[in-house]
Amino acid sequence: MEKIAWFEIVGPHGNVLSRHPVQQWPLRVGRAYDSDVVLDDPYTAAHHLEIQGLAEGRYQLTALSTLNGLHLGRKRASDACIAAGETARIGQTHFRLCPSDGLNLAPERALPATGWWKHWLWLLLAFGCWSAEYMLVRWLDYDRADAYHSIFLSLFEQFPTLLLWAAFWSFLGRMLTGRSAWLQQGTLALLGDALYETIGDSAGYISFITGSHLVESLLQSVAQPMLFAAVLYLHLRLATHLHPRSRWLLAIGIVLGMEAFFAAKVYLLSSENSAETDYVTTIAPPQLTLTPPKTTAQFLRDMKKLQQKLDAKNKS
Amino acid sequence: MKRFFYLIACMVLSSGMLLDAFAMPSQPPSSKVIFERVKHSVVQIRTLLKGSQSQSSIGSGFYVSADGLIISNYHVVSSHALQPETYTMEYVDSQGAHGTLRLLAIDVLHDLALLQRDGQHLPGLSLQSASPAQGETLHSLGNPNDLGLSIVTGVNNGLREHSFYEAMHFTGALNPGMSGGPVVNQANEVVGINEATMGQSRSFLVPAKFAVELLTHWQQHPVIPPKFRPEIARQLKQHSATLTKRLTSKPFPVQIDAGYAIPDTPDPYIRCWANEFNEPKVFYQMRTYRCSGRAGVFVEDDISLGQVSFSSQLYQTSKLDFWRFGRVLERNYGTLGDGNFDGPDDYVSNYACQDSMLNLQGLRAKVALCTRAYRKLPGLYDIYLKLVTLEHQQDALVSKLDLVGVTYEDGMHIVQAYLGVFKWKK
Repeated sequence: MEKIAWFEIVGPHGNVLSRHPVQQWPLRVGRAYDSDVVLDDPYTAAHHLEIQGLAEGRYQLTALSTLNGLHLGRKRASDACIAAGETARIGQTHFRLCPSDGLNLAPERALPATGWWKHWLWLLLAFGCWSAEYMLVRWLDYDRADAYHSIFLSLFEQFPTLLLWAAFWSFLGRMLTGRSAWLQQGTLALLGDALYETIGDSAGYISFITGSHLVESLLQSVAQPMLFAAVLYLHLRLATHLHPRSRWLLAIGIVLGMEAFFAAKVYLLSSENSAETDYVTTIAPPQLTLTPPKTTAQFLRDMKKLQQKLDAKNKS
Repeated sequence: MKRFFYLIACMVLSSGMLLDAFAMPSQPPSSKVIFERVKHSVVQIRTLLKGSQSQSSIGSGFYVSADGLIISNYHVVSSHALQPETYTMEYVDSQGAHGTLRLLAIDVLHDLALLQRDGQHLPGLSLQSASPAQGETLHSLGNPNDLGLSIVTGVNNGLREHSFYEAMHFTGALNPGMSGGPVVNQANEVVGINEATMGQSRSFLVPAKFAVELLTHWQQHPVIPPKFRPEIARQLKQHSATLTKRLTSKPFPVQIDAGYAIPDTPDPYIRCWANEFNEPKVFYQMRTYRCSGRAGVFVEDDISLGQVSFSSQLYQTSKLDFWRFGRVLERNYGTLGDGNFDGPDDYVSNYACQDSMLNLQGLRAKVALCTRAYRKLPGLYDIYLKLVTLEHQQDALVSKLDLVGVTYEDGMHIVQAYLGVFKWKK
């Protein structure tokens, strides 16, 4: 008999697991051996579904006597009409229907393996940036002859955390998309952390130069969370098939959630730790500062305003 | 011969009488005698949690009039003075009788309180304003650790050195619970009031002249304040003004180290110490100059105000560039306080800080000032000033001034005087 369509069972990443030619309508699907397509899914009924081909590449699905029913996306339906290529689910089996001549084929993709060394190069570059950042900060604190190893020690302290972070995203990618992309995830983690730390460490110096604590606060409370959200977005892009808008929402949601958590922590612990500084504590070479020095008299006048500010805050 | 024996007998008799005549007036009354004479004038003072008969703290006091006026320490009655809605007071006299007490007046600065019980014909002690001579034997009475009325004999060692307000140094072993009790001379006159102890027979007394002043002031203005907290704040402001006057009446003395002028003690009440940190493996050396006044004015447990302390650290390096030297300085400059920085709670507000680059007589310095207000004692503040000099690549001075519980205006006067110290000379 001539085949009139294809019934395809698809995997979680959209890959076709098995393909069955359809030779007549209606097509009966279920676990029973007298079905046209025999399923091996314990969450489906013996006679679960009946499919009727309609005009213009559309198909009518009718659930039979079944406990778990028929699902289109998240909606359960007793019967439904789907187009060719559209996925539906019965039990834990995702399926779709295609015309006999198949769906429109996408053009052939180039193999990513041709530039594999580029990924390694990026990873090495990222590792170089990351190590340089941590070692530079430790070098700044290197003030005794017997503590030179502390410069390198920071790398060993931080690296396991970063490795776990990259491994988490690789594992998630393997689960959700079928590929771990661990070289890219690792590169992203290293670059993201290096940049995040650089912003944090340079914030104090920028404040020293400008003489404004506000710059330091903005860098720490706005720039660092924004960077973190961007890194999360890129991790999600590599590890999931989520829509870009969903990726952004998820990344920003996670960052805002974390910010709220830390804000709540600060609020709840504020009675224990009040010595939070709201002035510049960083000391850099004095020639870098752009602020002209004031006289003692000017300083004392400013301090009068500080008292007014404090009193106003206490009254409110 | 008979006359000779008579003469001998007369001489022996008369010499014995003469000895007696000389010995009798110089024989001091024993502790037993003093105790018997004074014990009925001393009472135990108990602070009780309202609504229960459980005592919160105990101290001592003594009658200064027949109608029940009692002198004690402020710190014995501070819970009641600050929280009359929570704590009440009662006395227990030498007979074991007890009754309620009224707080009439306080002198927080000298740690005194004037109270009254109901009663008449009570054995009031007389107060002696003149200071006893150094070396004079004195007797202190009180209720140590709630063990019952006791007497302690010791020697007056004159006025305590480095004390902001006058205090007598007494070598008797005072113990908790004796606070507020009388210290009498051999004529049963009160010359001091038990106040504090440093252990090992190093005890301190409030000179009786301050009790005389409190009593006289009360007799002239017999008005009980509706609440004592504003009165405490007023007296602390008075202390703040006295402290400021003493610290700023003349320029801060300085000592020079490596060309830097470093503040030295402006008043004998403030004592200074110095030490050096110099390890061969460390790339910098540091000398610390630390000055502080003795404990401030007691307000309540863990709260003593009107204190001043300051410290300076001179850093020198020949091995660090300024990026790394800056980090060394930052570790000191970037931290707040030396232990006075407990939480904001209902007592004090959170800190507000402001910083600036200053030109201190040609010496460039980064200066930050942090302040917080006492919510329960309006008009009083903690003020914390710190600075780091940024003039030289291989040496710098980090200096901090810590003022606890002063008025803002007074604090700014001290800050101004303190900032006036810093300069660098070749």
